[in-house]
Amino acid sequence: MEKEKRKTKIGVGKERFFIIVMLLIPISNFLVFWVYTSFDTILMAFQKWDVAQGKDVFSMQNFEMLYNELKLADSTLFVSLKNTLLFFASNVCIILPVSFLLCYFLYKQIAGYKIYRFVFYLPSIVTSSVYVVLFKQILTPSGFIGKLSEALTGEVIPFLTDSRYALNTILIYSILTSFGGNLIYFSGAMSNIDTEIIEAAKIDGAGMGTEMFRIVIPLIWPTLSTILLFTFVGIFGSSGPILLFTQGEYKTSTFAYWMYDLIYFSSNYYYAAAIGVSITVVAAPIAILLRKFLIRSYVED
Amino acid sequence: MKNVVTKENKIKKSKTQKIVFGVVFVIFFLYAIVLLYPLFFGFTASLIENGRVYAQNPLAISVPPHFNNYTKAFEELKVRGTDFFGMFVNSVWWSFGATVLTILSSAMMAYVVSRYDFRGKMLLYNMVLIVMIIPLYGTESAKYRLLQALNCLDSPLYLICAPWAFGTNFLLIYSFFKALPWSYSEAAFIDGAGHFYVFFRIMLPLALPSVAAVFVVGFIGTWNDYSTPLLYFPNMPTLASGLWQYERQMQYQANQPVYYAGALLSMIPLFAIFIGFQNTIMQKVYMGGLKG
Repeated sequence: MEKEKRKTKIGVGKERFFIIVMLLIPISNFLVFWVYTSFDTILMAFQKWDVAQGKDVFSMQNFEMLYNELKLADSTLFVSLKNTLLFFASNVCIILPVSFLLCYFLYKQIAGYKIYRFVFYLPSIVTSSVYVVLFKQILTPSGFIGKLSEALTGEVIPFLTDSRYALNTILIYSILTSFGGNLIYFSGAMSNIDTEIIEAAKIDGAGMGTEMFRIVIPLIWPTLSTILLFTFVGIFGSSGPILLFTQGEYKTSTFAYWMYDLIYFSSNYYYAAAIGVSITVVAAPIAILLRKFLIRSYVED
Repeated sequence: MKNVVTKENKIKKSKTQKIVFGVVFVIFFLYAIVLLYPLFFGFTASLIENGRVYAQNPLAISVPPHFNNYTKAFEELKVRGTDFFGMFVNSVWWSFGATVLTILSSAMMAYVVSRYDFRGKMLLYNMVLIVMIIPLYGTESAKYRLLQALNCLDSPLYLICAPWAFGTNFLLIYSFFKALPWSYSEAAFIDGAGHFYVFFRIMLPLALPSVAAVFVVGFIGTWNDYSTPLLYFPNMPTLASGLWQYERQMQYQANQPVYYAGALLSMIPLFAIFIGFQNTIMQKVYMGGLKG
């Protein structure tokens, strides 16, 4: 009895040691590169570099600059806001539903589905910095689309060097190349569906529409709603191909790109931090509400 | 067995279904051409004689084809003193190092959180969800400043920030471990195996097919990430960030056909990896719900 007790005590000690060792790297990384950097980001938002003193000083300058942006109708702020919303809308209204349909037909093993699956995933395999260059060349007056559009409209269309077309060109590129990434998550979820359920429904006379909307969508809804939420969260964080196409010119900037541009091209770290903090303040409550709403939608099912 | 089911499905298809599948097939075909044509264009452009204006006919291959552009790519593609092979090496340490570290870190935390009881366990799980759902934007500034202070910019030491465990990888690997049967590890514990032995020699190998899928997806994403290398190690160009920088110089001086040759060569490693792991990726990466 005594012996056994001691054994478990050593066992508990060993277990605790194991847990601590396993968590050492993840948690220290988290403390340094999330907790500390988040704290510093908020601090930087309220700072500027003082040349005379050679150090950071408290300042509201960044938020004043941001406030001034609000007064101009054509400012980077409003352009970025509009474009970010457009990217989000195209994600929710086009990319997600089409990715789902695409994946559904691959799942149903349409003729040539193995080849199609490979080709549709291509945009994720080919480095976008290269893929964008290839698309850009096709759009030039000597490229295929350039020539075709000139033949059809009788004039050279400046797809990427005119604010009337530039954003739409980038949006179309993003839509055309974004299905593949979702393919992984959808096909993972669909291959987890019990085929017996679908067989049984078929015997009961369910058509394709019933199968899609009454069986497949409800069964993969947890995955679908997760992707939806992370699409919203990610839209402010990843700048997409804007750097590669226009570097934000011709009214193509988004919030994510704006921040990247400030850091990469103008080394304006403080202003970028202030913009990030401001976006977080607006986006965080929306993300929390969205999550609540989405969870409720599948708990009640 | 699978084949039999498929055959039955095909027989059962109604007329409308056949029409729908036919229409979808045609749409898929057209979409595939849209995705493939740029690569074809890149291929034709890579075969043009150096210095000539290219693509008189967007649908034909240059005659005679200059395959020596591909060997030239290794000599002439230079960005900030790094040649093509150097960019390849940078791509390798960066994507391999970063992916291994984040997967290992995520796996360690996921294993402990899914299999052991300890105080703060649910806090860790919920923290992952919180960090993912309400991230602070614009932290690149602070990260840059921190890495600068630590002397980790423009160096493989950048990997110090790679073992990130509070993201999608954690959630995916967590669900793999949750789904693994307990019996193997219990048997090992009874035989006197330690916790580390059970994790590294039994549980991790059991989860390997799924972890490998997450690894490949992460590897592809990191390999293709051009914005992180541009920001944190601009003087160590990877293939993704270097080819972009080369393309920007191209307008003034650089050799265009050689660029396209290099661009196509840079795709080979990922093509090989994807073809090898295609089925694993498509079936094993399963993302669950949002509930904490």
